[in-house]
Amino acid sequence: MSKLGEFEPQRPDSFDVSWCPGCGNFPLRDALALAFKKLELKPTDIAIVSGIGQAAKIVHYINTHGFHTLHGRAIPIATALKAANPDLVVIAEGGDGDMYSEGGNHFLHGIRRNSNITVIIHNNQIYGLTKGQGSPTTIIGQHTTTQPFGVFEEPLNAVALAITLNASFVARGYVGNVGHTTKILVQAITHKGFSIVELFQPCVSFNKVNTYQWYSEHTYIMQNHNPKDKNQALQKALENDPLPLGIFYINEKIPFEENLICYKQDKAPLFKRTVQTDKIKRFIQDDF
Amino acid sequence: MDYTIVLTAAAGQGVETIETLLSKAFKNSNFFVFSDKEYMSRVRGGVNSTTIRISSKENKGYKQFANFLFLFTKQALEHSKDRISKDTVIFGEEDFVTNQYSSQFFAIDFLKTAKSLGSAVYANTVAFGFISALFGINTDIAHNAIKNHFANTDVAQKNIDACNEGYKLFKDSPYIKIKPKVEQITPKKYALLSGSQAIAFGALSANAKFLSFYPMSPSTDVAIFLAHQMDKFDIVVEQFEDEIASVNAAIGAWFGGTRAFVTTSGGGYALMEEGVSLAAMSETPLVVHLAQRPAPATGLPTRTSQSDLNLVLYSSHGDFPRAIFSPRNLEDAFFVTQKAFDIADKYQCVSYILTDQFFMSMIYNVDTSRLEFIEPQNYIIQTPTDYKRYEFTTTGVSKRGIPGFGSGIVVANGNEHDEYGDITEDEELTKLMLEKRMQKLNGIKSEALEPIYIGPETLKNLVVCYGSLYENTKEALGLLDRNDTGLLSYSQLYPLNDKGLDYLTKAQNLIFVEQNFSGQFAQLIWREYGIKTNRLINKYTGRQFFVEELKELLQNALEVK
Repeated sequence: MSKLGEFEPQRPDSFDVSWCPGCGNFPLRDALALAFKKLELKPTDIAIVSGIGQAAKIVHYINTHGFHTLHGRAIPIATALKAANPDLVVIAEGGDGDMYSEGGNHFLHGIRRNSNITVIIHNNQIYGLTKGQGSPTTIIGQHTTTQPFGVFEEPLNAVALAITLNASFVARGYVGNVGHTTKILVQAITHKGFSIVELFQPCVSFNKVNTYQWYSEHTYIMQNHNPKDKNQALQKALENDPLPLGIFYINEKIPFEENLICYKQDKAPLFKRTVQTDKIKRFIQDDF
Repeated sequence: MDYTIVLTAAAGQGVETIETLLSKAFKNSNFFVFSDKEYMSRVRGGVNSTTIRISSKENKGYKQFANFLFLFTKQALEHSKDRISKDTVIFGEEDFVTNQYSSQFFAIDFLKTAKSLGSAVYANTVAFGFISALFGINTDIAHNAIKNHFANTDVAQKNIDACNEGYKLFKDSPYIKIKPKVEQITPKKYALLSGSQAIAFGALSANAKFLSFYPMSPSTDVAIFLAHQMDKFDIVVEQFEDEIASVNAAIGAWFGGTRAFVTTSGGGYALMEEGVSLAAMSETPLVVHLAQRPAPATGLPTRTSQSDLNLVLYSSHGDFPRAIFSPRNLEDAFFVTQKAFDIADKYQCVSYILTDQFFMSMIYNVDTSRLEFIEPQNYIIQTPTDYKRYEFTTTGVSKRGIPGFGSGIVVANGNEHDEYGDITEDEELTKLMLEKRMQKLNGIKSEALEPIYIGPETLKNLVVCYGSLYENTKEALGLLDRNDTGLLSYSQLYPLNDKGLDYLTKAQNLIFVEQNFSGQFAQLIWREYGIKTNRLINKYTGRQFFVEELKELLQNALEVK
């Protein structure tokens, strides 16, 4: 807990953390708080919008603004929040089921829309809160509570998918390495555009396959990779075993908010702008 | 002066252009113009009709019988037969009518004239010129309408030529003997607005700065119109990937302190329901504009209906407070939209604006002096440290802080929560939080808009309607001229303002007029007050009641002892 510093919430119901001991969400939270500190952000500078699941509960266990929303819907909410107030650092968080299954359509179109937000996917390759059903990233053949004879659906490769969609920033990390995860998060938050960070995060209760040990043995940090090279990025993203970690792809482009006409001249967030009654009156009288 | 023109044509024949040009020219010639249309869900072919009523007073009713019926295809006669009375003058190509109508028919070939000008596309502008001549519209006014409509000067000039040919066609022919009695309205600062524009301007005037939507007839015109204003006003209009994203985006914008809304129809709203429940639980304000069309499923995409009252009234899981508005006419829509935003913001609840296709397509001169502006109130506080988003209060309304404004931390939650917004399953808190949210309904009800009553002080019969049926019902009742019958018109459907109860209880004979099968508003009155309706006059064909049709139905209903 001490790693969180001012990002440790002091609210009465925020102490009773419902993550299991040893849950991968703990080091993920540490990495996130470290990234905030490195970026010299204050708790009030940041808003985390989360979906539903064990991952999404993070807004109660970290001291920033938070909105614990619905399963799959963090991205559109975070997008509009950023558009309403571009001064905020906006982060959308959820698990693999949240972001890739229920929220799959928003994930695709979020990439297209390219809002300047960071999307963190806590990928434990299983459903944790609902206790052990297969997720879109569960490995073929794995036995789960609802796939007792083994998963046969192809797991989703979100990193490759995002690269093919020309996503602005695509990275993957493993929370077993907090230092590396922190570095990725710092770059993702700094990056202007839709930054996707998929983080492997072991579920110690319901995923007996993808354990800390499994991730240590089946992942490696990419060296000498050029994230500006799309073909190389895609090639890396298609590697299955071991799974590469690091920043796969960076594609600098204009974020959603900067494309909005209302921000071309005036940078004041929308919530600070008042009604344009006189202009409306004139417009109705002169043009209609 | 009170004339109704009906133009019946296939989709793609450009009747919308005639409607736009005529409305503008009539308005600028100091007539009162009302127009509406019924159309098929297809891009080409089929048969559609546009009704334009021009009067020397503010007539906003939708008339059935045409004084002048223009047929633009052979199928048009069959389509518009019910618009013909013995006094209707019919225009069309030689073989467009059957012998039955020959005595009231004038042959005219706009297409032939257009082709002589080089292209069939000018046929509708020739027709525009012809109709303008019929009503003695000054050619300068007609030409200006064209210049305003066509940005390209060459195109505009060719259309002016076509319009002039239309004038000639009228003057050099036997039609010249048709002489409408022309009488102007007292000039006022009129603006020609549509239903969708009235909603859009209401939203802008309420300081709405974010509209998220997914296209769905008949609600999309609001988004189209506002998207075109993004370079003039501070507003973000974004087409999202689906209705689910749209409603959640609107919630996200409100969470960020920006007034936002969605525009959709029944099917789209069905997808939004989960988001609405998030707004309710997290006490994030939300405004939903829902333009109704016949349903279920795809139903009739471009037709009209009032069958989604139950949808919005009962939608989403769980108990939560809401406000439902349904504007009577354009002036009312402008006001009610602002009111919907104010209620949503003040009580941190969901507000609905329920319109329909007939309302969306309606266009008339709005007396701008009657557009009521509500100064948008600021309900956002600068948060103190140790801010509690869901602090218990006597009204149930907690002070709303937003991220990035103040020194407090704002935590909103779709899970049941404590005062700080953190998840709780505490039994006592669960009870108190639900009671807190429902407590807000009392405040919402205390501000509910009064229904309008028109009629005698002592009454025997009471006719009740809501939303866009107001003008037609009012006019139909006016024609019956009864001293024992009143009209009660609601623009807020939930919660109800109990002032209406006086009339509902006074009447011996209660008649509801609705555009749905089951009488959804009558059911709501029964649910709220235990008062049962004696008679339901309803239409569920996807077409709006005409004034004459309603007059007859009301007459029958009122004569029943």
